[in-house]
Amino acid sequence: MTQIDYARAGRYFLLADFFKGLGLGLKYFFKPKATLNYPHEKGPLSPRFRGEHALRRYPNGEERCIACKLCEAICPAQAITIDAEPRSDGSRRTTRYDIDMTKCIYCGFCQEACPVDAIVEGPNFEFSTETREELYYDKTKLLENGERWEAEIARNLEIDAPYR
Amino acid sequence: MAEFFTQTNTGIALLTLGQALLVTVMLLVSMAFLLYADRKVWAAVQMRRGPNVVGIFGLLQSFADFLKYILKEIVVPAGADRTVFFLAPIAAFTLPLILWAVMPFNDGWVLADLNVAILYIFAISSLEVYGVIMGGWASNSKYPFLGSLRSAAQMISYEVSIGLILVGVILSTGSLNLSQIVHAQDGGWGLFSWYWLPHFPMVFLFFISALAETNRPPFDLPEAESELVAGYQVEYSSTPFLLFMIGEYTAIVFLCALMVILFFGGWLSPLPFLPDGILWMMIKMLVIFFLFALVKAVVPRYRYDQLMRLGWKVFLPFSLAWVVLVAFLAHFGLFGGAYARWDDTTILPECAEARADFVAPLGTDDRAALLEDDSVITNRPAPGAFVPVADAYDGAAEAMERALAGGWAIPQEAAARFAALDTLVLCAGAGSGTTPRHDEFRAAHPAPARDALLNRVLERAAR
Repeated sequence: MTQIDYARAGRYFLLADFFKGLGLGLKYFFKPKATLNYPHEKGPLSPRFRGEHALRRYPNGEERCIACKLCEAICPAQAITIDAEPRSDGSRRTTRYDIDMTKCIYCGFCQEACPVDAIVEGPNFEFSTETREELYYDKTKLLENGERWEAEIARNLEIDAPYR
Repeated sequence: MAEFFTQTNTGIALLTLGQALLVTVMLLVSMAFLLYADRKVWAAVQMRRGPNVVGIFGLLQSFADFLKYILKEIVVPAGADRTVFFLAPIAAFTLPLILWAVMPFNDGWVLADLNVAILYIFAISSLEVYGVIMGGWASNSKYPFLGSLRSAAQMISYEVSIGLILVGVILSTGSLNLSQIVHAQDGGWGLFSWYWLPHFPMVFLFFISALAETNRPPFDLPEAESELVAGYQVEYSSTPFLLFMIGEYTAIVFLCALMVILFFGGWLSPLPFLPDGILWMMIKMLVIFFLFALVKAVVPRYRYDQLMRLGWKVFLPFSLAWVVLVAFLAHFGLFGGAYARWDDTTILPECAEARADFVAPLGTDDRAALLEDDSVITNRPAPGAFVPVADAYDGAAEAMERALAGGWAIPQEAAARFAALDTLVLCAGAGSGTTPRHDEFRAAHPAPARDALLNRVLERAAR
């Protein structure tokens, strides 16, 4: 003779689990939504968020990048290509600074390596394009990003400075 | 103008057509919003937002989906039986729609007030399986075919227990007419006179069977969107798929409505002092539909063997036992007649005639006393209604005896009225009544004595 588990049978016939589930469902029904109304509503970003790259300038307008190529060297995806030449005033500057955004893995090593905070990953993550070619960023595009996101980038660097 | 629509054949046909069209259009439009509501509830339980882009709060989402469906290309698989392939979605769409012909939305608001409405519902919902079977078979593809077999087996299994649950309600009502079923729930206790109370466990059985019958989660094995592709609908796209989907939702909403009619008093107000009306029907349907949607979000899917076990080894014996129990309770009128609410009172024409003949020449006061209880002229007179009739007979018989003994002439009309009163006494229960007044009356006027008196009166009047 097998023993009948009456408690379990009782729960089964009284639909106990079912009602518990319904109750739980109702509870969650009235809870605030966990999802965001995305294009109109955005979640908070950490100051360390690693988004789209940007090349920064000094407040006087001079490029920060000194073409040390540390970023190119550390890039695990080898997404960065830099050419450099002395400028007419004798300072060393890049003539070419390309990032292949389709290769980039957003590890943030480039900004870690940069001694002058020139290459940074900004807070922007909405830079999808319709063609791959548009994702091969050159120096102009990166400097442009720097100008566009300077306020946010500067603020994030300042907030994060004590931890670096 | 009104006469054209109620008297002439063309008018009646046009009116019926118009009503049918109105119900269909209202149904399909509400279906769009119910689909939206279904998705919204599902999303809310999962703490998502659900459709919220098309229109305010995403209210027009279903219309956008509708447009998308009808604008897509219809793909017919190679080797499909084209006729059956297209017949299937049409059947799946039209059959649940024509079910609504017998659904009363309010007192008298019904397209076809069939007295065999429940049978009609059974016949049509059994046919719904054909849409599924044909769809699966005509696709000429293995998986839709297997899906349709599962689906059909599931629908048939649960129809059996739905049928037995309905039998319980029919036993209590004594009618297959949906309006009558609602009327039988119209007691003085508001929502406590509805059938959900006496038929309590069956409410859940019906709800769960309805989920299984319409292939809703947790019994959505034929479609099982997270495991299979779409069961019997695999090969369908565009408008035919849309028809399948609308048909499915129409059937779901119909079962919600049927549940409201059977167990929750249809259009009756839950509180006795509030007016009844179509609004109650709508509210109740929405609540049940909300539960359907909530269940979809809450429960995990059944396995096929569990589904069959539940249908045949739990629901069938339970509902069968319940039918027997209800038959017992109804037959012996237990629980204050909560299980026996049939009303087979009919007016007996000879009694109505006798009352008219007797009452017409009387003064208003006497007439009021005799008219007070209409049950006198039915086949089930109320015991109390006997008293004024018996009193009237006592007086009349005494007067007639005196007239006969005194050798006075009796006018023709007086004799006729006495004859009418004699019939009326029988109608009021002189022969079968069980109250003390009945016994007293039978002692004073035994049946042979009454017959003899009436014969003598008629004889005297004829002279």
